[in-house]
Amino acid sequence: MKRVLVAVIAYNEGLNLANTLQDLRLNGPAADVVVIDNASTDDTKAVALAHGVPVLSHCVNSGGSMGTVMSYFLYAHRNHYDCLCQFDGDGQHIASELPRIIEPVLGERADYVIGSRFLKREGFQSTFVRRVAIRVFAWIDSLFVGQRLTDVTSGFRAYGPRVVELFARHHRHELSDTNQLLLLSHFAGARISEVPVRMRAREHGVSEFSPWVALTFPFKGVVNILGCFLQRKKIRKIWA
Amino acid sequence: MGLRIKLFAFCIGLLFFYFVFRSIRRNNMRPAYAVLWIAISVFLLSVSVLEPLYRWIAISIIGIVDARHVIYIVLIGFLLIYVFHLTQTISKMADQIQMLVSQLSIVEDELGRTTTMPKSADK
Repeated sequence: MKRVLVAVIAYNEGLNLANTLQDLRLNGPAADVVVIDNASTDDTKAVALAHGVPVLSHCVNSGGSMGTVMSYFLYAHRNHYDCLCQFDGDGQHIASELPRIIEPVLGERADYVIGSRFLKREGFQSTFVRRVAIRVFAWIDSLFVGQRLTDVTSGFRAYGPRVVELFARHHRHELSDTNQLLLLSHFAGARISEVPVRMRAREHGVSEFSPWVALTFPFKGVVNILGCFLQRKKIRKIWA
Repeated sequence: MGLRIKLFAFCIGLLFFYFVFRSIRRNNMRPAYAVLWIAISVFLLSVSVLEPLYRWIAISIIGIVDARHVIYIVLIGFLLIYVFHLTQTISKMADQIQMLVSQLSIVEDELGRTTTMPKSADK
């Protein structure tokens, strides 16, 4: 029996988290759930515990959703899961869509599966500025990966055990955006796959995407991609 | 180079020496970091004695017309190296902190489960 872990990442999602966890319990696949609470100041942790879900609670905020990835990689690696999914706690992700990203990993056809909003253009499509930024980075990442990718910044992802081990054991450095995750996995030899999924708009609260983030994101993104490119030889050796 | 600037460099050098050694003695500064600060102090102290040498280096090797600028150039050079080194250190520490935060959250979760389980069993 293959074991699946769904890591719900949350920062001040006390209002959305209950619905998200309920959605996972009622409509999600058979999987263990863990909530990664990035030092929320509201009752996020209490909500998760009330639902009987284990919580990894950061003692300090480690910055955005990418600050939580190290925790779930370490947790999944420590507990030997066969598939790890990232699932946003803000209600944007739909539990019934999870099998689509889990299936390629469990079928051992992919090590890194991206749930893309743009393959079928169903559901919430994000704002115009974000879509443009995503398209530019999707184009750059596609060039490196050598296959067409559309939603590279999607937080709806599934990883196989090899990718989990890559980040939990070998590349224990700060990961500051999804391009980095994707390209490092690719350079290490992971099979990347993209499947169409639907998403919702968030119900309560605000996104971490602020004007400041919009301004700095392109520059950081380019530097991150350059960094991955420079590290590619070192990364290739890990699985070689 | 005027006497005043030499005296000034000498005094600053002495002050640096004093504060660097005091920090090392009080464990406020790791010896590895102190090396660069001691180098800066030595350079400042040496200006008054080795000024002709620096003048020669400035004019004939680097091609600086005004020898006094050597002090500034060397100091800015030191600082750039030091800031670069600090940036590297901060980046490494950020990685380490992230690792600690993640590991701590996992250990806390495991500890919470092992310590609360007997309580719920009692009920």
